[in-house]
Amino acid sequence: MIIALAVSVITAVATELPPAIKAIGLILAIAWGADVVRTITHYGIGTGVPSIGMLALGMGMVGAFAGMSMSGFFPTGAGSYAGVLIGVALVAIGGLIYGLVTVKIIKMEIPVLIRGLAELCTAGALVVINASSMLAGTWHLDAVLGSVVASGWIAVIFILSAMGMLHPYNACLGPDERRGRTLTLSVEIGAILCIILGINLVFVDPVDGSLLILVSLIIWIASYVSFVKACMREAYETVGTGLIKTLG
Amino acid sequence: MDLIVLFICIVAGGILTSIGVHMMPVGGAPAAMGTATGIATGVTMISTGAAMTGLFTASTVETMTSNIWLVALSGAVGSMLMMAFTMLGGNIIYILAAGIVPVSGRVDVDPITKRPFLPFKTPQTDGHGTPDVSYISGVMGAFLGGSGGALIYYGLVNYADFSAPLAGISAMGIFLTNAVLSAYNIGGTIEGFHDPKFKLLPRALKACFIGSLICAVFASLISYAGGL
Amino acid sequence: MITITIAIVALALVVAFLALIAGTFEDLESDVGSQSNPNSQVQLAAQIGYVNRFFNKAISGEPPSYGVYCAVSAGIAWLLLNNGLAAILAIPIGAGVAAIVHVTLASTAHLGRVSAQKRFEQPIYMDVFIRQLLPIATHGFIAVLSITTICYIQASVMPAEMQSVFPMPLLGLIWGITIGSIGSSVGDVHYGTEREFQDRPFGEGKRVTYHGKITRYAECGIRNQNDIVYFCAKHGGPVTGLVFGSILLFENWRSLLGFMIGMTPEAQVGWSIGIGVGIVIVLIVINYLLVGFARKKYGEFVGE
Repeated sequence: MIIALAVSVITAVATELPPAIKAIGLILAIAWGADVVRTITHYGIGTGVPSIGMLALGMGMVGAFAGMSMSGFFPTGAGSYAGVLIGVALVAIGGLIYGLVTVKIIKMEIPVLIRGLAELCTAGALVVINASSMLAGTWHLDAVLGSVVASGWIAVIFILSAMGMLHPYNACLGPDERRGRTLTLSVEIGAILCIILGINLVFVDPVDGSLLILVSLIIWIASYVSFVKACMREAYETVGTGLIKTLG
Repeated sequence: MDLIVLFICIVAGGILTSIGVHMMPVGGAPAAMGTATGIATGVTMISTGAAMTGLFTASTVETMTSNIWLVALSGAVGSMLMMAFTMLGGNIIYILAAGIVPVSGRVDVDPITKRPFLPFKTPQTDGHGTPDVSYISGVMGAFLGGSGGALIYYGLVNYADFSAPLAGISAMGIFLTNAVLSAYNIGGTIEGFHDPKFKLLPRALKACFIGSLICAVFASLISYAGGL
Repeated sequence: MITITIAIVALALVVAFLALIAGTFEDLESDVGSQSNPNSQVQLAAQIGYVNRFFNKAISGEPPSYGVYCAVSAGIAWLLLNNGLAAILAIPIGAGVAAIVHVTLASTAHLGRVSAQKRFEQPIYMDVFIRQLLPIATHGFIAVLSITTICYIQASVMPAEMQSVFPMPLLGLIWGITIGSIGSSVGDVHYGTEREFQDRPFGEGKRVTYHGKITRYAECGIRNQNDIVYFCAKHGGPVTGLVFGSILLFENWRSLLGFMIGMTPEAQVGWSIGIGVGIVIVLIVINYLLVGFARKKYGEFVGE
């Protein structure tokens, strides 16, 4: 978790890195979010798994825009790199207040909820910042508004990264769910997001775009194959075909 | 001055959203088996779907007029249409495909049309279908939810100078956070304003007030620091 | 001021027709792979010893999943359109990419759910797994293709005053979430209430004691999802399409009528709001009559 936070913050801050490296930060942030979703929904939240992922991204995205707008305060110098950290800190505080509200006012009895919501919103914001900086080359709001928001690709980033956080635990739900398998799935969906971002990028910057597609394609194939193999190995039985077991 | 109006718009939108979500007749997964009253899906998603239909209309109207009431009402009417057709479609399936009479499980007599429910109810279920009172409650809920979404959009476009796509996706995010908070309050299922759970509304209002206040702070930050 | 030409009316009708197709196939897709709320019974069935050959496709509810497919499809199509490709090529390519994403999510959801049921002795049937993926992709493809075309019409083809202010991917997300929530709340009732419990008494809500005890045998042999989709295609799918189509039809119709009647922009919007409220009141009356019909025709509950 700390590794994911560190790597994704570094890739979010350093805008000069090639998109293929930012992709790793993005995938780690999604995996982190999926892990938090798994921890929270383990207790049962009454409304199904999807709602919490949408909460994370809804909050995280608005917060991410607030973080990106820090470029207005720090146009040059060290601030132009670290400005986004203030945004991430703001989102974490916002998530913390959300968690407090949910526990104290709505009286949800989930012990990890306060910390979990703070982490989840932070992960959501980091995903949006990373993905925007992959497309725009920077996270400065004016550049992002031009190339990510005006073209509507923010919708793709929004829903696909929400899916990356909520789908893994939802898809693996069951008494014999295993953490490793769930997180492999989140890496896989993160890689899909990177591939689709790469398809967008390849029209603007062929070299970076194809590199991004290549790296994320490798990650996608590796994680998909390992997930499918793990499932088939760990299921009760994998049979070609067969009749169902009848009750006595 | 713009800042104050922006805050009022977002907070009012969040509170309207919260009331709207509480009035949706939603049965969650059991409703798909005719075991609970209401629409057979999650409350967050059906209210988001309704509000998005309203938001689409409101965004077109917003380019024609700058009258806040007209924009909010267009969003509200778009949502009402969506909910009214959806609930009618659900009832068509319940009645004509599964042969089930819509009744409520929480009250014995319809509070509006005075139709008795108890003799028509299947034992061991919590009602089935969308009866008259839930239908009207759902339409009113969609009205409030849709006007909430449209109000947030209007505030973001006019008082924070957001571009239309940015305001659209941000309004969606703010709507979702409020809807999820309200959904947690009712535990996922509710039958409408006659449901005992509706009395939990003040809790959600307080929560959504704080929640949308955070979002409003973020929005004003984007507007101010981003130089929009 | 907006002048209403025959072209605008024709486009509005095309949008409504495409919405009808999209709604129908959206619901049928969720029946080919058991998705959304009725899937809770498929999940429960294995846990109470009802080992089955259903395709347990748990992609996080229909609204977010259709939001994903439609947003991805519209995003790719928008990208290709902006790079000079014709719409007739760009839109199917977008929907094709969305279908690949769809199949990936569907396969992982089925495998993940079934392998998490190890202790209930539910095996992974490879023929069920492989045979469902293509129908899922094709049904989803048609639904997503229609939605993407609707987004294209609303974002680019409509005359300037009637164009949406949102770009195509955002419209894809909006209509994807909307169609998902309609599909899961209308069409799935037919699958969940009727087809999953076909050996239970007809015409009553399914009791809590029945939950999980789904119908596992088909008219011939053991039931899988292919036996479900042709049944739901007779009622659940078309009604879903009808609902989504009428929403878009009346939504456009009230705007167009308002624009024709009103003189100033404010009056135009006011008229369309008034007409919308009128439609909703008519719908409330129709629902009242429908419920009254059911109460009179079916009578009180007579079972045990």
